[in-house]
Amino acid sequence: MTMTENFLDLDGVESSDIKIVFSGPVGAGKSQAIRTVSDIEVVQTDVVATDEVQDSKETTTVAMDYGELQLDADTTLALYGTPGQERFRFMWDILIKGALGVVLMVDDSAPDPLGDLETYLQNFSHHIAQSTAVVGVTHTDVAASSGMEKYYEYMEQKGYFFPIYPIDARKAEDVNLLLQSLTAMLEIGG
Amino acid sequence: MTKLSVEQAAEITRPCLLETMDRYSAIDAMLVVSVDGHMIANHMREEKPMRRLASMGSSLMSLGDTVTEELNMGACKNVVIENDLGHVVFRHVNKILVLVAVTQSPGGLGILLSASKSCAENVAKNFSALIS
Repeated sequence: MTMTENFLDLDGVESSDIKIVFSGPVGAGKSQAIRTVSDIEVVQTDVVATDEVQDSKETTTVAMDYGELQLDADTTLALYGTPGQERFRFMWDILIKGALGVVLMVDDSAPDPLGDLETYLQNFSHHIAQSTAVVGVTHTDVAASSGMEKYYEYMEQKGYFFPIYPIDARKAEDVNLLLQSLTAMLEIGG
Repeated sequence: MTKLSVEQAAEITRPCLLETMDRYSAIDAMLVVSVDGHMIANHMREEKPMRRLASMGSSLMSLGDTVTEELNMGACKNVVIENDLGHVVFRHVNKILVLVAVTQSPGGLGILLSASKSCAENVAKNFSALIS
């Protein structure tokens, strides 16, 4: 190898890993989704919840989740999950760096799921504009749900043309559907 | 599980922070935060917004625990950030609290480590006494 070939790209190291970030509000199922599809034991930073979150679950993510999914012999999806609470917004900004796609997850049983979706779409808008996103709506079976129609209408009104699916974060086929949609859009350039 | 309000937790915690900072002038700020990122109590020589640091403290402590577990190295004692202008130490108080201590003094790391250890033990003792 000549010296001219032997260089470090200071804009980022070449890698066949595709970084995907799962984000969304507390309880939307981000950690569960990564656990469901990861090929490796998921790196978690869960701690006991001391606030109202403990009404719905005992622990909460405070830094990140990390899992991996081998797509083929050469390509691995690196799956990062953000904390849900806005006080951890600094982690969102750290984790989104270098991500090629965003999986936004929304809990349909939350008081204002469309408001939650708006918050996260706004927060990641700059990044999404340069890459792409998919939306997974969870807990559609337990909510007094008015169905998916409101999400489709909202996305159309706002001019967001991302796939949006009702999913169960515990089902590999559902989480894989999100990831396949995302990677397909990456292949065709968003 | 005994439940304390944030105000009650702050009342138990604040005297330990004041006492430590009275004794060690090299320490510039101390915070006690919940493991999930809520501010419980703080004391600092120069008023600065510390809410974000409270959340960062819980994230960093948790990452320290995660790295320690990954390497099978027992329990994480401290996470230390060494900067051009000082040091920041994060350490567990008990299962639900994390102590964050800051010094801007050159060579202040030793004091920061020992003072934050004894302060964390005192806060933990106060909590145990209240709960038992």
